[in-house]
Amino acid sequence: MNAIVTPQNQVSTADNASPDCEKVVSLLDMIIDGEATSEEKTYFLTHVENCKSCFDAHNKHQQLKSVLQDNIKRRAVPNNLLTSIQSVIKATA
Amino acid sequence: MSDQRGSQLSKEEKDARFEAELLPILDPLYNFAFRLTLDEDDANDLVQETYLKAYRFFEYFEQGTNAKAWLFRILKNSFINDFRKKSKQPAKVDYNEVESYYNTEGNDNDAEIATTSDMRSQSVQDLIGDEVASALNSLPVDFRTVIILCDLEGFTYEEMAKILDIPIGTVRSRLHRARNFLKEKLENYAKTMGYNNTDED
Repeated sequence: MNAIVTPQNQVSTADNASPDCEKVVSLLDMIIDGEATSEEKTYFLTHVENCKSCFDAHNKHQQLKSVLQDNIKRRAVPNNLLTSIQSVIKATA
Repeated sequence: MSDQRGSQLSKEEKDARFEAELLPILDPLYNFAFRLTLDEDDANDLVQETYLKAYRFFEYFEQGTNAKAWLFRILKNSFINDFRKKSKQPAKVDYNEVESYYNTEGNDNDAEIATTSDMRSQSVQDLIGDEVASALNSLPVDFRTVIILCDLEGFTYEEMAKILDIPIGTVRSRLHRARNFLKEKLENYAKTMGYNNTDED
């Protein structure tokens, strides 16, 4: 039986992730949200020093978060909302 | 017996404490309500209802604990209840979803060229802002909610788990899927705008 050979031309896609890459991808949210433990951070940093695709994936993830924070405009609270809440509260026993 | 709870504080004291602890959260709470309902009047009603409930249950709120998370939790629950009641009249939300679906998926060249040249006067920043908002609004509400709570309001995973009554693991996986969804939508948009984000060196 022939051994299964991984085609060389797939190397540049993001889907040929090693188990390490898979672990790093699963950590990305926690990394950008500041929820990763120091062990997880160390693991992540060590890995991306040598892995461009995970380095890029992290950048994209971080970019998405910044794009949201920079572009979703906050709505001004309608003028009368505060006073109407206050008067409802006052009238409530 | 029934006046036992209320008798600890006079109404004036209770009102003063309520105002000091909970009213400063009006701005984020209104923004959360608006991002959920996508409608100013509904957001207004939802916030009022939330404060009224918070007032009724104020004795259960432990002073000095996370007032923002507490109010967000009440609002989220009110929204779910209202949403269920209103689901017989689906007009607004559906329209938004349909609209942004076609904006991202259905753009053929003609429409694209017309839009980009028509909108020269509008700043690129505004265009991007609109597109980001419409991508966010088009997410299913559970996904939209975790993005709002995490990225726009800065809640921790633990706080989100409490607000949404779900395990932290679910918060994490929902957030991950929501971000992948958004990334896909915005990458499609970036491509139609001629941004090439595959090789940025």
